[in-house]
Amino acid sequence: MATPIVGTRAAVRDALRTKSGLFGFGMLAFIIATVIVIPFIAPYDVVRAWADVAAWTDNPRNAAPDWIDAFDDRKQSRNIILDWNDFNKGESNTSQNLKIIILQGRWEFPYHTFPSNYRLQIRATWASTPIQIAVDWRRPDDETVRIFEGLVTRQAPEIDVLPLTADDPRNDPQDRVRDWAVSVGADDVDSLRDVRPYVTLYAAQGGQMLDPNRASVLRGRYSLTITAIARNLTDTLEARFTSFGQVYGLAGTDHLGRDLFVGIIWGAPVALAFGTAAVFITVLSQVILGALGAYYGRRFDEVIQRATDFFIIIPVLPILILIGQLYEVTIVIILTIVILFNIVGGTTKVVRSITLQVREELYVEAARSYGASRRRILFRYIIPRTMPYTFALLSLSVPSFIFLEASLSFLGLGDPVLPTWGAIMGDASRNGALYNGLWWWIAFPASGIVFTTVAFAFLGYAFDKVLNPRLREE
Amino acid sequence: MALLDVKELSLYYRTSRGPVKAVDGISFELGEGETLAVVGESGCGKTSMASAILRVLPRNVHRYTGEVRLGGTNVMEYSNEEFRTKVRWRGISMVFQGAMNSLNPVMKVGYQVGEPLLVHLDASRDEMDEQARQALRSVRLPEYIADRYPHELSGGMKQRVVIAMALIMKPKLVILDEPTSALDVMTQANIINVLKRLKREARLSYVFITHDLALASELADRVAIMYAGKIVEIGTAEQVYRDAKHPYTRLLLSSVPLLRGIRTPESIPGTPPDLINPPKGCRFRPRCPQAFERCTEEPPLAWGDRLAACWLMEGGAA
Repeated sequence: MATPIVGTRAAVRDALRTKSGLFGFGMLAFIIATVIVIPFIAPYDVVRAWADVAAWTDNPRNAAPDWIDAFDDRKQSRNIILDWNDFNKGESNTSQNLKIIILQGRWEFPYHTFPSNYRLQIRATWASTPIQIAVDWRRPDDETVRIFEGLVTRQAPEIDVLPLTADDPRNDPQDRVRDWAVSVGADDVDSLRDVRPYVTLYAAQGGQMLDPNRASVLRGRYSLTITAIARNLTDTLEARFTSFGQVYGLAGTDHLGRDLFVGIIWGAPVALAFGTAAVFITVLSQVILGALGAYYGRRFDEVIQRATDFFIIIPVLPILILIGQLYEVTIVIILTIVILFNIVGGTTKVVRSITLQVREELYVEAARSYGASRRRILFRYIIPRTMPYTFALLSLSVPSFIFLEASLSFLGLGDPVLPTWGAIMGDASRNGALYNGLWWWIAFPASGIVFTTVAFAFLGYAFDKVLNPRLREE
Repeated sequence: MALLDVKELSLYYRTSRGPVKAVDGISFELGEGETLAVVGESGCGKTSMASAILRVLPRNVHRYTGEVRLGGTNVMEYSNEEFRTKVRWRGISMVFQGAMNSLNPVMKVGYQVGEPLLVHLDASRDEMDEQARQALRSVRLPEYIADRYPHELSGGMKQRVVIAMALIMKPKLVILDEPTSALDVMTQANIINVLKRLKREARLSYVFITHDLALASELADRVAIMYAGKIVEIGTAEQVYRDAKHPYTRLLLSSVPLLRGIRTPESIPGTPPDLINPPKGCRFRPRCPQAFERCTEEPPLAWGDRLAACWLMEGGAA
């Protein structure tokens, strides 16, 4: 037999010398570095709002990652936001009880594709009568289109989102935009429902203006003018405009406009913490119980072995699914249940067999003869001998727990608040991501899972090579 | 009063074929500073006797009886816990057969040598380290050995480490179970010299278990010859080597090879008996060239001043 590897430090050093060990440690280091920088990129507040739909309404929905136009000479349209104080404000009092407020916002639109949507939010207060407003869209070709005319219906702090894309009792943007487009020479369309105001308003003049698929973008300087008539001098009006992009962030967005990059990097600590916590606790308990059983023997051993058989047979996933259906679970509860079902398991059996062997070794007998207590023999003589096996097992088991958590989340039975890779993929699957060509929604969380599990698998193989004498390359 | 007084000690093992009488009613005495060599063929129960004295028993014990008096107290009456704390290493320590395997591969040598101190005296780490180094010096090992792991040492070094470990608690009695059997002759001589010196300096008593009569003669004050779980002859080294009474002892002596000697070593025909069903009467009878009718009865050990379990003693023929 080759000389046994002594001590954890030596094992790590030798593991680093193997190729797979180097890869594994490197990949793990990358994941850990990510975990460390996360609070700076995306503070916990951001991720806490993951399940809150309202927190993500400024982002485009189902947007691709913004670096995709590096592979294309057309520049994809990005998000443009004119915030509350980005609008120039002018007021004039025409009489005692009439005030005109004019808000004007400008922006540059340099992109080659149309936005995916647009939105105008109004925040107003009035004393007696709702404020009447008119919204004019001014284009680089000096055309001006009135896209809204009517009353503001909500008072601050509530925000009124003007109906600018689809039919509404207050306004019919499609009709307004079509009338204007036809007046500047667009071919009319059969169905008003196909008109997308945010396309036509950004389109260069021509016959195809009303056809989202064939219209071409008019680049240049756009502006919005909101003219309001207030009945009271104390009335106020503010506006916020968003032109939603076709692309967003490093990893795109999902159906709620959530930044997938945030979800994916936060998936790393969640997966890592879940996997390692589950593995450390279960492997530890399995090793100790296996060794205890084999060392003390008889009835105790019998009980542990039968319990092990039982726990190996019962399927954990269906039970977790059942629990997930019946109760609202958090990740900590899932972790606890997973650990409970793995208190004993395959490792118990293997460690038991190792213990049965080591127990009979002469040095154990020697220790017994000089009066070492049973506990001392167990923890200083027997369990250290199972460490080589345990060490490789530790890293090889992490992936299976990560997969388990991902499967549960994928099924929608995981933690409802935290973004996990499995949960993101579950959302993607339920919203037909692949059917709609939203590849980023699947690809990034999946690569997160694969990257992490491969890192641990590499590590496991490296340790196995180092610590298993039969696999050592001498 | 003898330091160690063993009376009618028996240790039988349970097997599927029936009990194995590995140690069957052994009695002997050992004075302070005295060395008793226990010599016999492989499988005659020497190691079982050592285990029985130190109560390091396997799981399949069938019978474990007799008296072991240590300094007058019958330690066989101690509970396991009492035995562990009062006898092991404080009273009797042991060097196991095959030192190669009696060291924990994952512990540093110094820690392991000192471990009994930790177990019995609750010593501090510094104290333990200091004493371990001293013990290593006393067996002529350099101190830096304390920071090595067992696999970094040679066989002779490991053997000395094991001896150092046996001495760390300064016991009165050390059982040496084949302490040199896997070593070359030079290293054997070296270790025997270490043992001799320790005996002289610390007035240690040894029970020296070996199959090597020549080696036993180096160290022994008295010699016990074991055959099939029994002591067949016991006496001073002078008596046993010069004037052996039992035919087995004599055959054993004549089987020792001489350096460039004129006599060819003899072997004893046959094999040692089955300890599950030993022969009736004298157990050596089936192999004994001088066996006669009387030998089917169990011979007594004591004949006047000589102790040899053989009926030949009766007529003074031996």
